[in-house]
Amino acid sequence: MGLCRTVIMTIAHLMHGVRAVVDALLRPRRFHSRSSRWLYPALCTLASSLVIAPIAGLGPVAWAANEPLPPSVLILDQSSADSPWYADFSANFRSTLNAGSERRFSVYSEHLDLSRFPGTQHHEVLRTYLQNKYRDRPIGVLVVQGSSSLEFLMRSRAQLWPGVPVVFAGVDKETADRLNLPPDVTGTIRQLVFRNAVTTAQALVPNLKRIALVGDPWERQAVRKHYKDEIAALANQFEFIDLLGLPMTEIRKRVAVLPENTAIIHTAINVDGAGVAYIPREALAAVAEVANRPIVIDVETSVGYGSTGGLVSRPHLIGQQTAQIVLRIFNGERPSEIPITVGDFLNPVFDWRQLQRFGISESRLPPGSEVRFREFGLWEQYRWQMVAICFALLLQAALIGWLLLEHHRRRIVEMKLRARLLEVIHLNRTATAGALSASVAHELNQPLGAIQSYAEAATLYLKADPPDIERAERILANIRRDNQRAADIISHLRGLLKKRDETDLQEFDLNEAVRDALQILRPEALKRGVALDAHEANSPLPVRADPIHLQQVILNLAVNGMDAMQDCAPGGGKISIQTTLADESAIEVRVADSGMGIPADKLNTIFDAFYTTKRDGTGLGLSIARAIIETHGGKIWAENRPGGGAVFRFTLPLSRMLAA
Amino acid sequence: MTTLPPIIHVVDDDASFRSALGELLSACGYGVALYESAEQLLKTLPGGDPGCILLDVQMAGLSGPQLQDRLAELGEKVARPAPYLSLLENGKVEPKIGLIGDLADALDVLSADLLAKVRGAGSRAGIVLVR
Repeated sequence: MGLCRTVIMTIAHLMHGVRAVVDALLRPRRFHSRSSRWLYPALCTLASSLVIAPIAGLGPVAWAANEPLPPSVLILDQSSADSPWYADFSANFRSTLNAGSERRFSVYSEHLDLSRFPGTQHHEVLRTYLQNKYRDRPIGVLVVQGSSSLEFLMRSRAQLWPGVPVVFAGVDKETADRLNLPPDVTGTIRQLVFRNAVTTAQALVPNLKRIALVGDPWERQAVRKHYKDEIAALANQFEFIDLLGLPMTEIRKRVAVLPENTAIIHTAINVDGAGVAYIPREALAAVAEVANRPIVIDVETSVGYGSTGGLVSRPHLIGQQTAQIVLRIFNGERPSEIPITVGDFLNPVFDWRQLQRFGISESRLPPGSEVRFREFGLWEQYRWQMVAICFALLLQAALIGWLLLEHHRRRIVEMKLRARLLEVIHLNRTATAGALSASVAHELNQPLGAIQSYAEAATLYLKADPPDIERAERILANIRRDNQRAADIISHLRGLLKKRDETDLQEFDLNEAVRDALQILRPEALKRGVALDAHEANSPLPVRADPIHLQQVILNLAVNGMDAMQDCAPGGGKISIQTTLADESAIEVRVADSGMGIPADKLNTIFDAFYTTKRDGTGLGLSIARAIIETHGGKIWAENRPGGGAVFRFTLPLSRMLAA
Repeated sequence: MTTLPPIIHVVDDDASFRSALGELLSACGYGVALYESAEQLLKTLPGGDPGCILLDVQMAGLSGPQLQDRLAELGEKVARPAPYLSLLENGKVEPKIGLIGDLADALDVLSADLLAKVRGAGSRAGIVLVR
C-alpha cells in the first residue's frame, strides 16, 4: 500500500508540475480572450492525458487506480480443446489456484488451435471473437499456454486486454526472446533439450548407433525448433534416420524395419506428411504399434501410448507453477517483479509394458525413474490373498489328511476290535462247548455204545451155524445209521469249536439254528433234569446272519437259564424256546426259564461284560450274546415273567430277500 | 419149569442204544423186552418169570435210580422179592442198600462175559437185576 501511495503521489506531483508549466506559458499574457478561456482547460486536459497515457501503456496504471484485480483468469491455449496436455495443465492450474487463495476465481479458457490453423486470417477471426465475447467480462490475469499463443496475444493485446497482466507457460526460450516481452508479462519458459532424449535412448539401447526421428518438421514444432541445431552437433556421433514430416503410412513402414542399435525419438505429429491431422498421442500409438525399436519421448502426455519413456516434461507441474505465479499477482505483486524463469518440469518416466516388450532391465533406467503401468503378476498383485488361500488350502489338506489318517486308524482299530470280538466270541463258544462236554459225551456214547452192541451181535449171527446173514445185514445198516448220528454230533461240536477269522453271513431259517442248538442242549437239559421245549413259528424265519453265532446266542441264553434254575427244586426246571415273527420286518426269539427271575435293578446290567452271579461264571455269556445280536442289527433284552422266571428276548431283522 | 430163556427187560430212552442192546441179548439167546421209559416198564411189570432189568441211569421222566426205588417199594407186592444190584457208571458192581437175595444168584442169570460186554457197550448204563 505504501508503494501505491508513493506512486499516486508521484503521479499527482507530476500532474501538478504539468499544470504549472501550462500556467507559466499562458499567464504572462494576462489577457483573457475567449480563445484563451477555452484553450486553458483544454491544454490542461491534453497535458494530463499526454502524461498519463504512456504510464497506462506500461501497466502500472491499474495499480494506480488502487482497484483490486477482477477475480477472473482467462487461459489462452494454443492447442485444440481435446489436447491431453492442456487437460493435465488446466486441471492442476485450477486446483492449485483455488487451493492457494480464499477467493474464488472464474477461470475461462480459449483453445486457439494455432498449430493446425496458423494463418493470419484465423488470427483476425479470433481477435474479433475474443473481443466480442469478453467485452463485459473484465479479466484479472491472462494465462497463455504455448509459444504460438503468446505470439498471438502479444500482437493482439493492445486491442483486446491492454494492461492486463500476462503469465505465460509452455513457451520456448527462442520465442520468449524474440517477442521482446514487456515487463508486465511474466511466466515460465519450457526448455526441451534434445540431448535429454539422446541420453535416454543411450540408456535404453546400449551401444546406440542410430536414431530415427519421428514428428512434425522442427520448424512447425515451436518448442523443439532448436532440435535442428542440436542434431547437427551430434551428427558425427550418431546416424540419424530422418522420418520427420512423412505421411503416417510411410512412417509405419519405416519404423517396422529399423536396424539394430537404433532408438526412435518421437516428437509431436499434429499433421502428417499427407496432411492428415492427428492428436499427437494417437499418432504416437499408430507408430508404436509397428515400431521394432524403443521409442523415446519428451512429454508426459506421450507416456502410455506405446512409447518406452524418456525425460518428459510434465504439464501438471507447469500448471501448478503457473497458478503460483498468477496467485502472486492476485496477491499484489507486480508482474514486472516476477522474473521469467526457465522451468525444470522434467521427470524420467517409463512404461513398464514397453520395457518388457524390448527386454530392457529397469537397472538401466536413470536414477529416480518412475515406471508406470507395471503389470503385477498374480503373486505381486494378490500376495496376501494368495498366501492366505495357500495357507487355507494347506490347512484344509492337513485337516483332510488328518481326518483320513484318523479314519484309517479308526478302521484299523475297528478291524482289531472285530477280530478281538470274534476271538472272544470263539472263546466263549469253546467255554460253552466245554461246559456241555459231559452231556455231549453222553450223547455221543449212545450211538457209539449201540454200534459196539450191534457189532457184537453181528459177530454172533455170523458165527452161528448156519450164519444169519439177513439179520447181520440189518444190523450193519443200523451201525451205519448210528455212525452217522455220532458224526453229526461231532460235526455240531466242531462247528462250535471251529475258529473263524470272519463272520460267515448266510441266509437261513432261524428255526434251523434253534433246532441245532436244541440238539446240543437236550442232553445237558436231560443231565440237569430240566425240561426243554421249543415252539417254532409256523412259517420259516429267514434271517441273514452267521448261523453258528446265532446258535451260540441261543446256547448262551439257554445255559444261562439252566444255571439260574440250579438252586430250584430238581425236576421243576423248564426252559422254553420260542421263535415268532415279531412284525413284517423282524423275528423274535424268546428263551424263558422258570428260575428265580432277575432283580429289577439288574435287568440292564446283566448284559455287561464280567457281570456274573455264579461262582464259576465268566460273566461273558450274556454280553457276547448282546454283541452278536447287535452286530447283526438286532436288539436283546431281559424281562421277568409274570409267573416267575426270566425271559430273554432278542429281535433280528428279517432278510428282505425271502420276506419279499 | 420149562427152560424158557430168561427175559431181559431193557429200559433206555435212546432208541438206537435200546435196539442195539436188544439185538445183542437176543443173539446171545436171551428173551428181550424193550421199554423206552421207566414208566412203560412199571405199566407192564413182569410177572413171575425169572429175568433181569437193564436200566439206563439218565432218562427223561423217572431216572434209573428212581425206578429202583419204586421197584423196592413194589417189592413187597411183587410175587417174588427181586434181588437186584446196581451197576454204576464206573462199571463197579455195588450192592444197593436194601439189597435182597444173593449176589451170586443174580450173576447166574447174566454170565460174567455178557456182563462185561454190556458194560463195554455202555459203561454209564446201570443194570438192575431182578429175580
